[in-house]
Amino acid sequence: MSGNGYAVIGGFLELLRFGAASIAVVLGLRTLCFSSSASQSRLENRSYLSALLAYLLLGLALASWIVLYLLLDSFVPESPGAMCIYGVTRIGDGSPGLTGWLPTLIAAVQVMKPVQVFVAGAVVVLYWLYRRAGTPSLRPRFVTALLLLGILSLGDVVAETTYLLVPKRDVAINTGCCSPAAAEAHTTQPVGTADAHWLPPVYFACHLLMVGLLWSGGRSTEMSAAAPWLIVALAASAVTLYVAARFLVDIAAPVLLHLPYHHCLYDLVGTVKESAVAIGLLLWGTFCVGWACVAGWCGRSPDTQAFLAPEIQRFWTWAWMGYLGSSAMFAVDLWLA
Amino acid sequence: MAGVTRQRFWLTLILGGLTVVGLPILGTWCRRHRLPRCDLDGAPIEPIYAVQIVDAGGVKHEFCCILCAEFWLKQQTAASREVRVTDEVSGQPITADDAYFVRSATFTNQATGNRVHTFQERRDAEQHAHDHFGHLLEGPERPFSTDLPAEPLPSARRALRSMRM
Repeated sequence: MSGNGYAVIGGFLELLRFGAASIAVVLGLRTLCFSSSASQSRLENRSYLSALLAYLLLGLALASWIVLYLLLDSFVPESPGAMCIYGVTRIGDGSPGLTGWLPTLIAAVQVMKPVQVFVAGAVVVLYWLYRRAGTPSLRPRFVTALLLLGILSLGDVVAETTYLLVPKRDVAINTGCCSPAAAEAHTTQPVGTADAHWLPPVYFACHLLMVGLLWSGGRSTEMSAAAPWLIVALAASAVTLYVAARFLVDIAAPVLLHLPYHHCLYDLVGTVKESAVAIGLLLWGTFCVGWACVAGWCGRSPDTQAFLAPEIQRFWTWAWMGYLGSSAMFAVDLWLA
Repeated sequence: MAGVTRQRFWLTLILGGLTVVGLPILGTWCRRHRLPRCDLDGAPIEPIYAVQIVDAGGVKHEFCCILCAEFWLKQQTAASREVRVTDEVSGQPITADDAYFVRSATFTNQATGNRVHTFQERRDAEQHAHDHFGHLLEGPERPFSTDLPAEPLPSARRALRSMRM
C-alpha cells in the first residue's frame, strides 16, 4: 500500500465505511427477516438508527468519491509514464497475476461511487417519506433500500481496499497518456471533424429541453407525480447524461484544454477546475430526477398520497436548476476559451 | 410572507447566476499565464526535447517529444512549412532535415514512450547510440520523413520490456 497522505485518508474512510455498511446490512436483514417477532416500538427505534446509517453512508460515499480522485492524482508523480489520472488507471494493464486486475478494479470503483451516492440519496428520500407518513407502510421499502446500500458499500470497500493494497510500484504502463492510446486505436478526432458537429447544439438543446420539462413539471401538482411523466423525465435524463458525457469528452475537453486531439475528462477536471462544479451540477440534476422517480414509484402509498406530489415537485425544481447551472457554466467557459 | 419568499427567490437566482458566470471567468483568468505545454497532450515541455512545427498558415505549434509531433503532423491535411527539433547537447533548435536521430533504450518522455533522441553533430549521435544501446535512424526510419509515425508508443514499450527480459 502506498504511504501517501491520501492513501492513509482513503484507508481510514474504508474502515469507517466497512463498519457502517456492515451494521446497515445486519440491521436491514434483522428488520426484514425478524420483524414479526419484534415490537413496533423496537422497529421504530431501529428506523432512527437506519436513517442515521443512511446519512452516514451518504456522507462517506461522497467523501470517498472525492478522495478517490485526489488519491489517483497523487499517484501520478509516483508512477513513471503516467501523464495524468488516465495513466494511473492503466497501471497493471496486461500484467500477470493480481496486478493485471488493477485497471478492472479501478474502473469498477469509479462506476460504483456515483451509484452508491444515488442509492444513499434514495434511502434518505424514502426515509423522509416514511417519517412524514407517520405509519409503518413504507418501512420495508426504506429498509430494503438500506440493505442494498450496505451491500453496495461493502462491495466498493472490498474493491477499493484491494486496489490500495496491491503494489503498484515498478509496474510498467503501456500507455500513460490517452492521446497516443487513441492514436493506436485510430479513434481520435480533432474538434470540428466527423460527427462532432452535431454535439454542441444537441447538448444545449437537451439541457434546455430538460429545464423546460422539469420546470413545467415543478409547477403542475397533478402532472408531477404521474407515472408516464416520471418515465418520460427519467428517459430524457438518461439521454441528456449520455449526450453530456459525449460532449464533455469530444468537445469540452479539447476546446477548454486548447488541445484538439486530447479527449481526456481527467485532464479537463484537473486543468479547468470549475468544470468539476459544472459536472457536479449535471450529476445533481440527473440524481434529482432519479430520486423523484424513486419517490414516485417506491414512495407511493395511501399514507403518502397527500404530500407526495409537492415532494416530487421539489426534486423537479432542484433538477432544472442543476441542468441550467451546468449548461450555463460550460457555455460561458466555451465562449471564453 | 410572499414578499420574503420572492426576496429569497431573487437572492438565490442572483447568487446562482453570479456563481455559474463568475466561476468560468475566474477560472479562465487564472489560467491565462500558462507555461509552455505540448500542443497534443498538454504535458509540460522539457526544453531539450522540444519540437516546433510551423504549419501551412505560419502558426507555431510546440510539442514535448517527436512522437507527439509526428502524430499531430499525421492529422494535418496541409503540408507544414518547417519542423524544428532541439539538439540535446547544446539545447539549440535545428531544422529536422539537418538533425541526426537515434532510437535508444532511454525514454525522453515516459508517458508517450518516445525513445528517439536528436543531435546536431553526428559524433554526438553515435556516442549516444553507443552509450544507450541505440542506433542511428536513417532513410525512411528518420522521423518526419514519411507520413507514418516512427513507432507508436505501446509497441515501443513492449519492445523495451522484451529487451530487458
